[in-house]
Amino acid sequence: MTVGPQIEFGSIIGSQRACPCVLVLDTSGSMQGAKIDELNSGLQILKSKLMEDTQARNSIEIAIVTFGHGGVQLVQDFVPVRDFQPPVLQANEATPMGEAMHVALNIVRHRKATHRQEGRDYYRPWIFLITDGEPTDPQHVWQDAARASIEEQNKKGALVYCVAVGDDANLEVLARFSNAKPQRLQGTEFRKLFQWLSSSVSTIARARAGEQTALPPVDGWARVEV
Amino acid sequence: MGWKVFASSVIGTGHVREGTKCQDKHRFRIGPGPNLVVAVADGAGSSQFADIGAEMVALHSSFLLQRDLANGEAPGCAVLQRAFTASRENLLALNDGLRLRPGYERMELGHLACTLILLAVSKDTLAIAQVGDGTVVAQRPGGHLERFSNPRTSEYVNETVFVTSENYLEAFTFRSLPCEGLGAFAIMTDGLESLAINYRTREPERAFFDPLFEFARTASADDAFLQHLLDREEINERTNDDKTLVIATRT
Repeated sequence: MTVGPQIEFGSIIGSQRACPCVLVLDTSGSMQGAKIDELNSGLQILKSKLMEDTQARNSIEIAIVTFGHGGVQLVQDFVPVRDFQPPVLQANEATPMGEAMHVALNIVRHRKATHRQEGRDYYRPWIFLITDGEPTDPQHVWQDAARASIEEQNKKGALVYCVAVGDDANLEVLARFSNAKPQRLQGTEFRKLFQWLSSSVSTIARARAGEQTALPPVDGWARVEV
Repeated sequence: MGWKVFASSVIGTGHVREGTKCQDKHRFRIGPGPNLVVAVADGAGSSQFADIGAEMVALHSSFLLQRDLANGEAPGCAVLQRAFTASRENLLALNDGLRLRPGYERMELGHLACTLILLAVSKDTLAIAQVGDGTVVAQRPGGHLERFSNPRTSEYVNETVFVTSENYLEAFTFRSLPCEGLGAFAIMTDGLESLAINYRTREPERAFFDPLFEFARTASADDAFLQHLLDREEINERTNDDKTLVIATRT
């Protein structure tokens, strides 16, 4: 045993940094069956992968907004990874994607304000939008949400990534929500998607200004469009 | 009266997992006489050659500053700034040179991005110059711990200015204080701040620094102790980034 300074780590408050991360998940009728089951097990994987990374465990905070079953729901407000209990989501009803993105952008702004008030340091928040369809809210609602999403990214308020599930997801619509190119999931590879998501958010502490879009390769789960 | 110095840069657990290199680098140079120079550079996350940039800047700036002090210059703002500018020009030259090599035509200065803290101690003055994040903590008379770091330039904790940035001189800060009564000081990169700085008070954590400085003064303190400390689970729980700590105590 090496002799060293006797530091009581437990008594150190320090300045643990927060990394807010919102999952905006499609729970509409078309997600019924294998898709919603795979999505639910993907959420379990996300939790276990993030728990493996000691810093991610302490810095990442997860929120979940769903659209479909029960309309738009804040299923989970921001919670540290270690306290995150993956929900079991059900799928039915329509696809109010625009309204869900409005909610996601709002909770992100609110979360940052809370951190600022408390003097906590934080990283740029992430929003992941995952859907197998296209918005069913009135056109002006989703278009307004898409504009707000792009504006938020342009002023560096948040990073937004979109993932399409299956062939019915409308990539052109998704592209209007994000400055990054939307990706299409291979089959129902939610497990690999959430593994990727876990390693992406875990890199954040080492990312630096202007290079935060340098994410790990998506080839484990994204389909190459031909 | 001189200084006993311990220094270590330890790779972050995140970098180990991804197979990337440690991008934190440091150099310290003792003497002549009571002089001491320390350079700490934190290479930028995914900048491809940030480890090289950090190494070059730490090496070069500390060399120039030691030479200037040895030539009788006082550690003033202009002298430290000159070392910054010269080590940046050195990176520019390296970048230009590399671009001539096949395969490196698209090399940019930003690929070598790093922060730099340059610290000089003479007989009567401690001087700190800095571009980017990272912190210096000084143990002042009466054991009071004082923190020196740059004001945040961005809303987000991991966004900072680099020596390679166009506007690096706008972000350049210089501070100096008398050596009298100065018992010890520490320099750390951003990776350690989540442990060493209390977010509410913005003050250094006494529970971290007091035992650290105390131990560094004992005969048990050897070259390996800092590395062991920086590898501890309690630290990796707070950061998966590279972490550098340099400690100097009076002898």
